[in-house]
Amino acid sequence: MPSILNVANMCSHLQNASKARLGITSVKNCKFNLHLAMALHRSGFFSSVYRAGPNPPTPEQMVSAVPEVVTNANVSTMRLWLGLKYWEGKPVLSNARAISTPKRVLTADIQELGRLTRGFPTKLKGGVVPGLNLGECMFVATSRGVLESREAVARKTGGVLMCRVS
Amino acid sequence: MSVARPARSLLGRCLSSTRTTPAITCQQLHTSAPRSSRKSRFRNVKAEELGLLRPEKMDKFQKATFPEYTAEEKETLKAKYSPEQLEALEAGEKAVDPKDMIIQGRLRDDPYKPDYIEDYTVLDPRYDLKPTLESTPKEVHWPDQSEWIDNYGQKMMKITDKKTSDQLTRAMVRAMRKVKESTGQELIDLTADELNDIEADPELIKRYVIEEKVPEAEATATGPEFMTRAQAMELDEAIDTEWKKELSKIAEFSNQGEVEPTSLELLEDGPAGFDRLHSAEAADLGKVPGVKGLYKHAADPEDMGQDDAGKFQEIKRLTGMSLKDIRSLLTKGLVTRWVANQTRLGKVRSTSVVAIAGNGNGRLGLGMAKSTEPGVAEETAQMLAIRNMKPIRRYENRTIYGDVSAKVSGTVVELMARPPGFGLRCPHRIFEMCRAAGIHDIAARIPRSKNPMNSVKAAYQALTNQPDPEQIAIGRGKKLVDVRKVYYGGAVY
Repeated sequence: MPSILNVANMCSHLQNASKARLGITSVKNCKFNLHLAMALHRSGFFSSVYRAGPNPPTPEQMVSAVPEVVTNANVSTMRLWLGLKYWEGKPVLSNARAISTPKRVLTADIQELGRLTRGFPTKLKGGVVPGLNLGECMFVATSRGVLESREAVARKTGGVLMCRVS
Repeated sequence: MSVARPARSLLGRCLSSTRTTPAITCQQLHTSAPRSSRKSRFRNVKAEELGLLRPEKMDKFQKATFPEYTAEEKETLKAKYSPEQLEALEAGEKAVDPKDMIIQGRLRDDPYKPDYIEDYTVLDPRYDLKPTLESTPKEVHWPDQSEWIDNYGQKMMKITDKKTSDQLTRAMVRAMRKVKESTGQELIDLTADELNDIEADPELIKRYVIEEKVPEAEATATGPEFMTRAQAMELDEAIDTEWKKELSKIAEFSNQGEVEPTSLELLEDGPAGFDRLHSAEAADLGKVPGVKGLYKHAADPEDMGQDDAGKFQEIKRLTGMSLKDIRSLLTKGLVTRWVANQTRLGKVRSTSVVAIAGNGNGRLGLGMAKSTEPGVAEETAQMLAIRNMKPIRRYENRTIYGDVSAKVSGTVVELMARPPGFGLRCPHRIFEMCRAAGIHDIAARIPRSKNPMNSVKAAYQALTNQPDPEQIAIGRGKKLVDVRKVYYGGAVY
């Protein structure tokens, strides 16, 4: 089972990459990272998500080519390649912070998640979590996969709070 | 000790005294082959060897290059020069020995050699000293504009008239010359040289033509070559046709430069006139008209006597606002600090003021000024604040977009959007800023350092750096909806 620590690493790496104005970056290929990357892509933070070997794929490849099949032989070399977005000289994704840590996993039920999404600070079992600000997104690991908090509220599922991104 | 020693080195010590080259050989510092000795590569040929110094040869050369004046030449010189000048010439000739000239003198063939066939009417800067001209500085006359324009126009007209008449005269002269050359008859009185002179300087026509007209009339009466009427008609016609040809040429290939005034003529029109030409010292300036009327600090009639001191003139010009608008702005000094500049003469105390200005409707500016006079500092800071006014983004014209925070040094200011009717529940400086900017609902927190100046700066930064939902939506490619607006069916601002 992959650790949720990978998400924390991914968050800080994404912040660094966007500060450096990189067009494409890669993170470790694991389940949490992949699902989070897909959720971020759905929310419009990434231009593309692609799983490939150690060499960076071209932007065209990321959009059109069928990704390489993962086998036992190549799984260790696989990376998740993420296309970063910029608008008017500013990164679309500039802040990414992990919420849960392996030691302090924060979960929110539907009510709590609703309050958080509406922007109110909410006391959870592990501590108080500030509500979402303008333009902020929170990603929740639910039984239906990693969802944006608004999606999760719409589907009426709670789960582990992974990270907040803006 | 080795026995196998070359004999040369054994004898070297004895031979060394006789050697001319030093025992230590000089190290070669370049790769080219050394030259055996410093000798000219060309054999010197002396004048003696060529036989040039033989007396008969020198005499021949002297006769060819520096001959004595012949009797005829002396006669012509006498005709040209006065006896004193002639004497001076002879003395000059005697002073220089032609032998010296042959041996020591060098005939110049460089391009700068003086050309002695001249009458010294023109200064040549290559070998003539510049004469010191006595220029007379005079009182400068400053004409007013209409007077100047009148004078200038008249002058230009005069110049153009004169140039045009000169041009026509030149054309006439050319026509006459052509007729003279073609007919070959001596019907025209003027010689070719005279015609040339007139063409070079059309002023001369007065001298040649008008002065000679009177005696000409007498001459024609008594002279043997009396011009018949037919001849005169013929001549007139010939000149007429040539003249027309010349005129058409002028019209076709008209060189405007010929008629236009030269730079010298234009210079003459300057304030110092021709004096500028010669004198580096400009003439006395005289009484300069002064700056009366150039500076407009007097009251603007638009202000209705509200700003007689002209305090708001500059700010009006910079912002383009009327005095009434500027007066209606909310300005306030928020922070006053007493600062001192430590010099060797002691502390120079002054007041530093940070002021804000806002129109109460979404514009806010920050100004900072320092002066030894507190009043001046305050006023200047307020003016600067008015100049620096920037639009502040407001949500529903009452609060800010989301929560923003800014940090200046150790001061962090957090501003939070609040619902309608919440009011301004914030520190007093931020309260003033919000009031000036037209924000009515806000909460603020200064969790760390509460430095007055930094908190004002940080609050201004936070207010001007609010996120823009439109831009976020475009960046993510998502549709962002204001839920409040949807809930109230758009019945909000």
